[in-house]
Amino acid sequence: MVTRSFLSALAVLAACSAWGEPAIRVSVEQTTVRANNPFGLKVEITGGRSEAPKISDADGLAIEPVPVQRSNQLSIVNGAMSQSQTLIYKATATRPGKVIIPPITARVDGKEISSMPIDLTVLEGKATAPIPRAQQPVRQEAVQDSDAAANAAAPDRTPTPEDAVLVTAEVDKQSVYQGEAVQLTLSRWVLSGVQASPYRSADPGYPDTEGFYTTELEPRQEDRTRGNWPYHLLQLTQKLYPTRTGQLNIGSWQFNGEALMRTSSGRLLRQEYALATDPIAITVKPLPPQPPNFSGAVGTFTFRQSMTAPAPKTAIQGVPFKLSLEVQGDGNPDSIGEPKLPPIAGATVSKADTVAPPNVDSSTGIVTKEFIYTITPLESGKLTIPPIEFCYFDPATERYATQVVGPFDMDARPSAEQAGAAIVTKEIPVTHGKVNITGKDILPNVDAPPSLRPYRPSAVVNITAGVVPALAYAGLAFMMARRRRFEHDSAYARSYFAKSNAHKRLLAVAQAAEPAEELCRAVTGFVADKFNVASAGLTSSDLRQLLETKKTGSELTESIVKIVKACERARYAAVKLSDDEIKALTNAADTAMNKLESVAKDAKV
Amino acid sequence: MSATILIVASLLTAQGNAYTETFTRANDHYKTGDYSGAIQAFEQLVSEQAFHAAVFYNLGNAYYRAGKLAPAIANYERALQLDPGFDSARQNLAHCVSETQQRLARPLPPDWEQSLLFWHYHLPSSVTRWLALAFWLAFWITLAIRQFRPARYVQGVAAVTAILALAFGASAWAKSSTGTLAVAADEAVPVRYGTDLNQTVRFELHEGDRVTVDRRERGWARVKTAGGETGWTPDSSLIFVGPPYEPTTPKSAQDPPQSGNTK
Repeated sequence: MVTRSFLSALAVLAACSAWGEPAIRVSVEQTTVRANNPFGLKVEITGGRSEAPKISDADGLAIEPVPVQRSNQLSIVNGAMSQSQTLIYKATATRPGKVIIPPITARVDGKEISSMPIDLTVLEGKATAPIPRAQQPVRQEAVQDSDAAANAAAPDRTPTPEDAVLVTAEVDKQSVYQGEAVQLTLSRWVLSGVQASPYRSADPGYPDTEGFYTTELEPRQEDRTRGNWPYHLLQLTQKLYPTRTGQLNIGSWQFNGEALMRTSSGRLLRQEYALATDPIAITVKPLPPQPPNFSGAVGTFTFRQSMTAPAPKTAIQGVPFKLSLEVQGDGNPDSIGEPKLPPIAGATVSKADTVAPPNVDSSTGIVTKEFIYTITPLESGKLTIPPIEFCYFDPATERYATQVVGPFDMDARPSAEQAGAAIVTKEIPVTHGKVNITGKDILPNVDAPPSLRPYRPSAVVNITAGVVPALAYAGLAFMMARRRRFEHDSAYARSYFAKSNAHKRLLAVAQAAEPAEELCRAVTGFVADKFNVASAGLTSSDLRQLLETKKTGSELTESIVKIVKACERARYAAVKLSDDEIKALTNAADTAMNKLESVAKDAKV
Repeated sequence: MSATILIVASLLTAQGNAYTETFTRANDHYKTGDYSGAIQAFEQLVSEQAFHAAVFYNLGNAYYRAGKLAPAIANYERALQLDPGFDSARQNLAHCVSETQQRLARPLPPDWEQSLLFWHYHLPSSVTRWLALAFWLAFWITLAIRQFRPARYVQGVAAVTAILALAFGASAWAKSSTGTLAVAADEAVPVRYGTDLNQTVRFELHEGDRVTVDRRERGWARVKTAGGETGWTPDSSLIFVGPPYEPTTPKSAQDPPQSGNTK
């Protein structure tokens, strides 16, 4: 039978703060419990600053003196400030029957106050099998007990301000080896509908973990039910690696802030909180005697290798390649030492180059550390990388474990450079293609070369050398193109050479037996060549018609026709033309031909 | 005109004689064991642009005798750049490399590239230059012949000479362009992830290790080894083989470069 003995803390608190009187109240979720089953014993002290209450065992009841959860609250309601402290103790009834929780005494602001005793009905406890060590939950304190207390909450109870914000800290184990990972989970529970925010900074921070190497995992947020009430849970997780032996403490985790919530009457209540988890002690054991090849890593690891050689299982003499050894596991990244690479015959090995920083998976905390060695084959031929060991301590088996990769057989090809050296050092014996067998000493100096000149590359010379042949070819090509046109285009050829031919004829006029006839042939020949017509039988009237057709201009046409007519008249006249007349006609013909040349050029006739 | 040519020719001859005298003096220093004197004289020739494989070879010898491995290797490399068939330089270079700590191979292009561009990797730069000019002239002469004899085979010859002229011309241009080979000058040259002295050291070079430099900025050089490892190191801890060819005095005594953020 379950009876409700949990009074309304909110009403009491409000009354206390109004009166300002200190009060202590002890409550349990159920007054009927089973023997040997732990339950939560809640002690609420209000009205002032209190010291820790005196807890003592009673007949048939064992109460642990250290509370599993502690919270301090400072609330301001309608301007009135009140302070309260809530402590939850782990209590266990040791026998069936009637058991009385004795009055619990506390000192508040110097005044000693006591709670009322509570009667418990203890039923026979269920027989439970002993839990084997390996399966036994390692962490019991804060969460289990507070969970037990919370889970024991009556489903129909109204949550109080103490239930609005909770903080818990738990570790997965409390006794570990030095370097072994301890997972610390910090949880902040905020009742749904309550707005809780810490003072100063939104960063909840982490507790003091002196003596541990820490890595933080990704924070988690989710909605979860706790004691039948919906909560918003913020969970921070740290991996802690103890760096020394003995007793190490994880400090208390605190929440100092305020929360806004609605009371059952619909009023908005602003509640201040100063919550803190209890410190957690971790016992750190020293590692067993270490083997000589121990790398320093503690945890569970995998060991892998990869190579960046020019080709699979192939290296080149004198050309370095990389051997990458990867260690992955849940150990302290700082303590994972480099695997000891044994000497490799016929090759040099560099010191390990660590890819920094080691990769830590933010969700699992798994660490990946990579060691890169540069190996340079000194000789061609078979290259064997001996087995490489990685020794670590496995806390699960409490033994040292060794993982091995290799051996690897590779083929080292002779280098191109060495091949060249071998060719030029015929007088020096080359054995095994080794790099350093080119001779005991360097070859001597050479004498001054005959062509020792300053090296002055001249832009002028370069441009000249580049451009002159092209220009010369361009000239030749132009010339050849015109020549081909003369050969194939008679009209162009006649027109092109018309003036020079006519000029030659004009020069011959003075010495000719019939100067007038020669002059006539020169003029008609020029016009015929220029316009590509037959010159034989060309009369002055033919010329006029031709020139008018070609639109050379009336003045020029008239002057040419006049010259030709004068020559025609002289040809049939009894008196020949005098030398002066011939000269005048020749000059006039020369002028007319020059004009016709320019007119034809302009008109592109 | 002819007087000018005569004057220029005589000046060049006089300068050539002066170079020969310096060269001989440097060799005399070397023979008497005065290696610093020999280095000084050969470096003077380099600073006066008397670039010749023999100068760099002898300078490399002098540096080697003086116990300076890195400049010795750099100068042998220069000698081989100017004359890839210089066997003595190749042999002395191999000897020096064998005395380096890591005996790193020279970063070389892939085999297929060396086979395909064999003329570029096996001919001296002067020969490449002259061949480029000769094929250039041959191309134009072939074109001129084609004007008189437009036969098909003449066109083929013109095309071949044009290709050869371009190939040798490109090779000559590449040889005269800025070189990427460098030699580590200090006993230990840390190569970092970035251009900052606070950056993690990725690997270490040792004196005489040869690397290629594909980028330089603010006093830092991005280097790559024959094995493909890359990283940044102050360029004062490297000797750049060139071209351009500069005196090979190690610069490690200089101030460290300013830090940057380039990755």
